Amino acid sequence: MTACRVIVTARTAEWAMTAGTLAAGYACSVIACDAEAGIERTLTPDETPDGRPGVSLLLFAFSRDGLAKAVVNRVGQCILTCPTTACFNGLTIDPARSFRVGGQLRYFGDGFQISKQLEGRRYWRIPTMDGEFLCEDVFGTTKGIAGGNFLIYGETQESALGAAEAAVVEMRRVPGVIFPFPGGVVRSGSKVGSKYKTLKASTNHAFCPTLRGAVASELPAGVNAVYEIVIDGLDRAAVEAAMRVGLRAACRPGVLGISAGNYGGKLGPHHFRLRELLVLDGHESR
Amino acid sequence: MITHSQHIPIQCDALEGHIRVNADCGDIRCVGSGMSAGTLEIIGSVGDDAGVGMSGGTLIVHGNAGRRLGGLAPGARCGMTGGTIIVHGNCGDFAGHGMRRGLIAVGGNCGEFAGTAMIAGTIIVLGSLGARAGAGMKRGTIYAQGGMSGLLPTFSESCEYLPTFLEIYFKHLRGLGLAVRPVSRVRRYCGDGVALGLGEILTSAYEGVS
Repeated sequence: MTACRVIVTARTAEWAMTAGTLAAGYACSVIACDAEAGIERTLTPDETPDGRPGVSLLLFAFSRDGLAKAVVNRVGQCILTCPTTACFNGLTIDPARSFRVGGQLRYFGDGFQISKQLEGRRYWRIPTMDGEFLCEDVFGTTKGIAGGNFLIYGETQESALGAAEAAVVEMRRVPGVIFPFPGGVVRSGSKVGSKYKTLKASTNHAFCPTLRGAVASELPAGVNAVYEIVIDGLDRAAVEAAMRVGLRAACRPGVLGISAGNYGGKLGPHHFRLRELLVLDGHESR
Repeated sequence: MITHSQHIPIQCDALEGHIRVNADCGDIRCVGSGMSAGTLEIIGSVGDDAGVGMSGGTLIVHGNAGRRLGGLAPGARCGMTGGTIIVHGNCGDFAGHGMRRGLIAVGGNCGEFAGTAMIAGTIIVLGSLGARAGAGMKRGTIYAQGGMSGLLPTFSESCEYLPTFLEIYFKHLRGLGLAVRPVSRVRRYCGDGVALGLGEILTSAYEGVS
């Protein structure tokens, strides 16, 4: 997967969060969205290029062209339109692996846009009704990892969800990762393919408690709810770090087991073995 | 003060491309002219025509600069086409004449006719800006934090606002050792109406313009 980091700043942290939340909307899975996206973390004024509060977004897509299209659309519709915002690249720029965002959005300025170049970076100032929208010209990309996951088997829906929420709270502290699904938690784990030929993915019936008895279930006895946490990261180390803290946080009363799926290798080449992650952390898995 | 005939004490870091001149060069013209890379740091003042025809690199002057800072080289159609000039003190008239790209930052006051016939680029003056700034400018930005006098009637007032791009420049300048206050509201004037008219003069909204 190709990934990029978008820095959104605004006059207040609330407006930056509003723009970031909107730009990362409808971006749970590349099964049906143009990208997978989420808010990596909030940024203090000291951490942003223009000295204002901000948020950092990570976006993932199958190809650089696909990612470029998604980012330009999302920045153009969700960030440019939001009061007082500005938008910057958050990764190192390799000219061979970059795409233009401000360079495409500048045309909205209808000839009144202004270019500023500093330290090899170009910024576009696009006139808007509240002043200017500032957007960096070129954004860098990197090879990221999407679809890292683990499943939490709960005795009840409450216990499984509580564990998942606790895991997400801890995992959000890790830089370089996002959790693209609602609240970071997935209820509708999917398998590749379907009995319906046009469908690329369908419900993972082997993990649905209501289908136990009707299909070959993979759920251990006593499990009545399963939640999945999906992790997208800029590199393997970031995904591993997030999974490590998430696994530990999810080990709570009422959780009967934790597993993960690579769906027969169809999900991708990266395998994260849960026991190894915990052993590396100095804690034996149970 | 040194003259052409005197020995100039120079420290040079070839790996970093950084030359440091520990002397006042106030009588020497064309210091840093034609620079394309590296850093030239003068611990003192420079004379007229410093940084003319620059296309890259950084020229840092800890004292004052003379006239035509970052201006046109003889026979050239435009002034500096890239790079950064930092002057901690004051500078003379015609700074950034014909400037096409790059950045000139002046910590003190700037003389008259700054940014004359500017094509693009950025001039930042932390002190006061002299009269007739931006005469004939097509594009580009002149910012005066300490107010300005003698604004040409061919410039039109646009609005008061808080430009976000300035803080990016300010961060860069702080990194180069210039003491810059945080960005505050500015009053924007666009012009020059006798040229293309897409340039701008920004002055602090709390300082006067006469």
